Amino acid sequence: MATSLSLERRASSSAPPPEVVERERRRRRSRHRLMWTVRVLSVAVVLVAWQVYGVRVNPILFAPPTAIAEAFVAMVRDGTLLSAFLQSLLVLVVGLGAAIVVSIPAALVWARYDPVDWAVQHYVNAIYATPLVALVPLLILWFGLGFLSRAIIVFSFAFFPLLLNAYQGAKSVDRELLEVARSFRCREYHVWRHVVLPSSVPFIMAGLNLAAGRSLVGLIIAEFYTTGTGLGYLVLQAANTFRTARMFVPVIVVMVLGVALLGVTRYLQRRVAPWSSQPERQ
Amino acid sequence: MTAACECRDVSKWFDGLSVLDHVDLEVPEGAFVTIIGPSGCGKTTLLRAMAGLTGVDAGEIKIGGRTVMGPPEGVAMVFQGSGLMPWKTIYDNVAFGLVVAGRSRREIGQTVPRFIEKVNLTGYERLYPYQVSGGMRQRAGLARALAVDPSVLLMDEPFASVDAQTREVLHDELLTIWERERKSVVFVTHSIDEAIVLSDVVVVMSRRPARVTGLIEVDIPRPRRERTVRGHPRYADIRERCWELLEEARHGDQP
Ligand SMILES: Nc1ncnc2c1ncn2[C@@H]1O[C@H](COP(=O)(O)OP(=O)(O)O)[C@@H](O)[C@H]1O
Ligand SMILES: [Mg+2]
Repeated sequence: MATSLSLERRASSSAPPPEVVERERRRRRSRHRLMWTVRVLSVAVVLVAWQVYGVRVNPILFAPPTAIAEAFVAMVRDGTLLSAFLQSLLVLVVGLGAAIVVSIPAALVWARYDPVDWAVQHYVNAIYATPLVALVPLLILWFGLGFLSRAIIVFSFAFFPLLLNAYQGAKSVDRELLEVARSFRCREYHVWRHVVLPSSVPFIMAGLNLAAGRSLVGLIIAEFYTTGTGLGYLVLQAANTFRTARMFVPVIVVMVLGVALLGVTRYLQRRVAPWSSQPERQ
Repeated sequence: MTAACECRDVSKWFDGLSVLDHVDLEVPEGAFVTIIGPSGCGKTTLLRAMAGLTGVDAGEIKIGGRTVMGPPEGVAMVFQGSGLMPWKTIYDNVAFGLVVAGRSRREIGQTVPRFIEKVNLTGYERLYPYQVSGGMRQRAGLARALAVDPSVLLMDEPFASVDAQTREVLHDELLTIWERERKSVVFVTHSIDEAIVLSDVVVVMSRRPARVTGLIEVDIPRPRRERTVRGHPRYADIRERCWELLEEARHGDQP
């Protein structure tokens, strides 16, 4: 009993001695170094294996990293890559942006007014359950082969994950907080502004995360189906002419774009809703 | 003189389950009234009805002489779970009632720090609720309610979820504030000691369906502090009477 008491007292005494801090820091630094070594090694191994295997295979079926790098330089030089990238980016920004702007208010109205809920619930479920790819030819029939059509396809891929997440968020508002708002005689506007919207933010951010990935899928599909613009078209063109190395270049650019988009949404999630990633303290 | 709050023959059912059964209760202007009763008896329901957050099926509740139909003006509530918005800082939470009441920026800027100081939260304004202790969250909830300068303050077991030592500190803080402001308070608790320490009158309710079983006046002089009340010669006697009434309420007229 006595020993455990004295142990406790020592454990709770102020800052640890400098040699403990130093040891801990060194341990952490060496772990950090090891982590990066493993990462770099893993990339190197894959690249080397790819290169070794790639040069032996028929260049129509596969391409080694060096050939892809060469194609990359060539495509940057002649400007095809940059113009395709900008075309794609514009479609993505317009489609995804419109989806964000439309879906969030729509979801909040849907969640807060029961008659709206009864009216649209089954439609949303039905459309969400449909693989959107199946509707792409129909959208093209309606909206043509141009920019509008591509933006609408991206929009429809991004819209539903955003809508459903924002709806979930507005539905899961803490009832006590709604009661707080009511007891302070809030007008409906204030209930939205101070309770419903902020409590939906973590859900909206999760939706944005999903929508970012979906919108890229929509983008590439749209560019496959419509006339010759964007990264998707570059992929198609290179594949049709059996220039496999050139095909890998836009694929990698799209991959990087996707990773960057996810990074942005994660960053936003932490910035906009710092409370949501914290464990509840009781 | 009008009562700050009066319940006349109030009854309420939830899906055929009788929760409030002919409740009569009067809270004089400037009095601190505590309601105790077995858990699940309908205390929260009665308080929510006073706050206009839920309707009653029979009888009438009046605040400041006017029948309650929806949240009345001049009433503020302190919630059991503190009811702070996780996305607002302590400062913005305390300002909430003033902001939605459309008070001027200047007035808010003057009022909020005053009430933050009153509940001893100075220095914590910029923190979020998840960053402070449960006791501090309850203080912020109290400051938010006081900041709108209500004439009636409704408190639903505000200290039930904080530890015993913090609770004593909070009692003393609440006593200090109340003895200066003299708001009419209806305070719900299931702790006899808390009821005696804080209030002028203890209302004992029966188990569900809740009726008022008895009133006990706490004639211990103010200013009070937790320790002086507990050491007061009348304390044991009052406690005994509360306990008896509560026992009666628990077991009385079993069906
Ligand atoms: N919204 C509700 N719907 C149905 N029953 C409820 C509701 N609110 C409370 N009750 C019931 O009413 C009774 C009294 O609840 P409450 O007022 O919370 O009791 P107390 O606060 O005294 O513990 C309980 O049996 C509870 O289950
Ligand atoms: Mg209760």
